[in-house]
Amino acid sequence: MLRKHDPEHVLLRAQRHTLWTSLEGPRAESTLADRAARRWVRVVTGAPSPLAVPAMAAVARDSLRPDDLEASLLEAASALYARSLAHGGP
Amino acid sequence: MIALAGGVSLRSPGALFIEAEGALVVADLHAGYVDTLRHRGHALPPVSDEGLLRALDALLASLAPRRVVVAGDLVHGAAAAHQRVGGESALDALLARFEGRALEVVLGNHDRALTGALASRGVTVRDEAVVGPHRVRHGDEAPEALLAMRGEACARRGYLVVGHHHPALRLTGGPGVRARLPAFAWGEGFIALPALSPFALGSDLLRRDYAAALEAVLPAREMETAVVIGEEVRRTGRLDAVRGAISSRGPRRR
Repeated sequence: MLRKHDPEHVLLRAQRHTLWTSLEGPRAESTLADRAARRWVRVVTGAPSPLAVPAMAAVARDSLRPDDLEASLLEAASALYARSLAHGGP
Repeated sequence: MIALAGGVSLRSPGALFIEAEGALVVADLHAGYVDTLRHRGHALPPVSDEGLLRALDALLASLAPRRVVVAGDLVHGAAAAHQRVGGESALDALLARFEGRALEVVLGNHDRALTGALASRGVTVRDEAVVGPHRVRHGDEAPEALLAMRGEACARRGYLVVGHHHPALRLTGGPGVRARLPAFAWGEGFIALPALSPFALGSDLLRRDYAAALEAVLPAREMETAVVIGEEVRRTGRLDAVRGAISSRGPRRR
């Protein structure tokens, strides 16, 4: 239910954290150690690689979040109230 | 804070204060939510009710109520009365907050199994609390029954106050500004309180299927709404007008 309706719920985040720390962490570390031992070749591409798009989207999403979310929400609530008044008000 | 007629006010983070009676009304605390889920076998870390207790402490300190009425779902399940390892149960931690104040618990669908545990701790348990001209119920009754009770409240010039529905409103602003916020929904003779539990984000009133049960008691054209943002309660308008204002700005993302 939570996964469907509220995927970022604090309990799901806590569960992911627990799974990571107790189960997946060591496996990921060993995979990273394996990758680090391989030979890396750095290639500058002429355009963004399709593989980079999800990471770029995540970075952009983070940077969009305002510093003071509460103040922005208060502003959004006031704007919505003004628009609702224009739509037939109290 | 939003002041309504008769010395009734809507308070952050989701409470009603009835000045003449010195009464604080809160709903849907769902204490021991994580304890209950862990007891059912969910792999969750032992998160406490710290956020809920902090919210209650702030309300009790700022309003100093003589009387506290819980409009149902004080706890999430029977496991809330189980003693935690190295500490007291979620229920006892919660009840300690109300010492020295008259506490009445209106039974909700989540805590009816705990009637004995509550009574053995000296808590007054009821199906309905009477606060001046107002009546407090959980709100899980059939809409027709709630509608009739609302009619009676109107005749008394009071309110029927309910929890259970966990009203919320999805708010979107500029880039990155998007949140589902606990909301009050009220109109003549009726007030629906948001859930006080920080784990219950609530049902978005903008969705007609979620709001249908409330709209059967109080139509959208008569339902005022307000959201809780931090320590503030901000009016957002009548529900039908809010829907109109949002739909006129194009399709809404879910």
